Amino acid sequence: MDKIIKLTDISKVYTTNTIETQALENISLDVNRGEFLSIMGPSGCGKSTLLNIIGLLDRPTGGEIRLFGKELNGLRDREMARFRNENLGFVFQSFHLIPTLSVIDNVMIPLTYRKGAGDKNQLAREALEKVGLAHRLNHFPAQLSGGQAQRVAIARAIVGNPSLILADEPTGNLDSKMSEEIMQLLHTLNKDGKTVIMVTHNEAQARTTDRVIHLFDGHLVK
Amino acid sequence: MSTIKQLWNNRRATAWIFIELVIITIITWIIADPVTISVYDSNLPMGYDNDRLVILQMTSFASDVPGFDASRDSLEVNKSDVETVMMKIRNYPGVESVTIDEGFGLPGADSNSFDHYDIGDEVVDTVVKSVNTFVYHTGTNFFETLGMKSVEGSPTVEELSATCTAPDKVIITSDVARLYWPGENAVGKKFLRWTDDEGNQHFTTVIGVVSGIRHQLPFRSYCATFYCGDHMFPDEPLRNFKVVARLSDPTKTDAIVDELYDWGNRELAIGNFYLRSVQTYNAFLEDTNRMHGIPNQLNLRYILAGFFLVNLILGVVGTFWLQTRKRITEMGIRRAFGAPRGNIVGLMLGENLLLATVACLTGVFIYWQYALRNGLAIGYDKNEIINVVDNWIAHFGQHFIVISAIVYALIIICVTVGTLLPAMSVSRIDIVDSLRSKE
Repeated sequence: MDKIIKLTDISKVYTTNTIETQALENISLDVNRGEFLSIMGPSGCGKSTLLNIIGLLDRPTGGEIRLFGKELNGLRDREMARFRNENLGFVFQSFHLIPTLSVIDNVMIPLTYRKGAGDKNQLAREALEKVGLAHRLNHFPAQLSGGQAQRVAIARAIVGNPSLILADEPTGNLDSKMSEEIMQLLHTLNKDGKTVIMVTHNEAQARTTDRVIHLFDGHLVK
Repeated sequence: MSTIKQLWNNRRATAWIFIELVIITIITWIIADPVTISVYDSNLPMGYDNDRLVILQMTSFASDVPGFDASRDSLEVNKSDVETVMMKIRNYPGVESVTIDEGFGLPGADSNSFDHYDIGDEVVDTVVKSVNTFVYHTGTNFFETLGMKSVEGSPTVEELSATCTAPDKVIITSDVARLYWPGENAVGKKFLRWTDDEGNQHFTTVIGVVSGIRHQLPFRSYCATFYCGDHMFPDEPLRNFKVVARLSDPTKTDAIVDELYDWGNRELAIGNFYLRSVQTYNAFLEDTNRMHGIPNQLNLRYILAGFFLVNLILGVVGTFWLQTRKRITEMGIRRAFGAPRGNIVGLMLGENLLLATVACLTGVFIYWQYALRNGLAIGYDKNEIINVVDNWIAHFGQHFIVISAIVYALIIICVTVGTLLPAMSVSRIDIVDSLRSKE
């Protein structure tokens, strides 16, 4: 199998003036292309930190991270930004849509920072069609339900056609019906060839994925 | 396009800032206009070499004090003593030339003599009500000592200094020439001075034109004429006079004052004369300004403008600072999806500069409507004679554009500082922290 993520001895320590907190300790993990992986564990165990490190939103304090065969530890900010833009899509628990932008403008954000993205408007429309929100193009986030907002967020995550989708508790703020819709969408994306890594507290949702890993106090426990 | 869209989408928040900026633009215009004109006018060249001139004030003992020598008080001896004083100063090392003034001959002097001019039947469209008249003495190197320049088509200043204009000739400045005979060589033109009881018209002929001069520091060049004084030694001895000395090295003007005073105390005690004071020409101009309270008024104007400027900077910078800091989460989202740090700074700067530009243009347009009815600042003094100025200040369009550009620059600088610093700081926040931000 083609390993697209290889983490070796990843550690993360948060340091303030007085306290050092070990968020992750010697995490080693491989993820295959096309896999749907769930990360579970109690609050504060380091799930989101691990996801952020995989998504290059945060830097580890130790260890090595390789994505798509590329060693990423020493990349500069601009190179990291470009790598994220071309390869990664994010779905956040609190959606993180920009309230002053319309649905289509929110979806277009990743394309704004990509050279030669083609017809950005058309790509954004297609992404919104995939999540069933083609009729909400000019609405603003405040005019959407939670489920719709998360679907817009998924459209934004996939508009640039990234290989890896990182979802941090994507159903955490949704009711069960909407959660189901979102999970179906993520599974559809996975079937279409996207690798999906999802942080969740929901065991039932995790069971529907290919693999589940558990974290406890910054350690990988199984 | 996306910047405009973003501003429009965010119009509820930006509308208040827009209105604030429009008001600030108008107020800045009101304050910047007179201050700019005053600063500009104060820095105009005086039209003569004020930086390399010193003035030696000579006076004589009164006839009832000990030391007064009655034998030196005859008209002839008095004249000889004056000439000796001038010769000694002229021969002082570093002095290039000297001239004499009895009280009405120096630009910037507190005492002025004004006169009215007409050119006969022709109607002159001018706001000039009066022209300042200076008196010089033939053969005393007046124009070249002061460092005036003759204009094209006019005899040289050396020739003008050597020519007596009395009683029916006059030397004028280029401002007078431009107002009375615009576009023409004024040499040879005539002013109508008076018409006698029999209806005979008496004219004064212009024999030379020198470049414009300024009277006092905040004023612009103004209309001036020069007559030679045929009354230097009319019928009684000269008691007080000034000798203006032009120095060859302008950098030594201040240093030479004390030196000249010590020397003059010994060497210029001639006949009944003694040296009362020595000062640079610039100090002489400052004295006149102080006498009229000009520095205080200007300083008050500058202090108020400075106070406003500080408030403007704090207000605008503060507003944009807060606005920018409010967008930490948005910037975290953009960076997560691939925006580099520089792009974040550019995005915020672009939006705020666009907003400031539109607001500034609106404010300028509103002020323009006001200015069309009420005019623009005309400088320190509202005296009509200053309106002879022929530069950007006098032309509504140019004047309006210059001040608008200054106002725009001020606001843009404030907005740039108020955006750039927090934007750079926001762009340095970790993406994860940005996404967690509650701002």
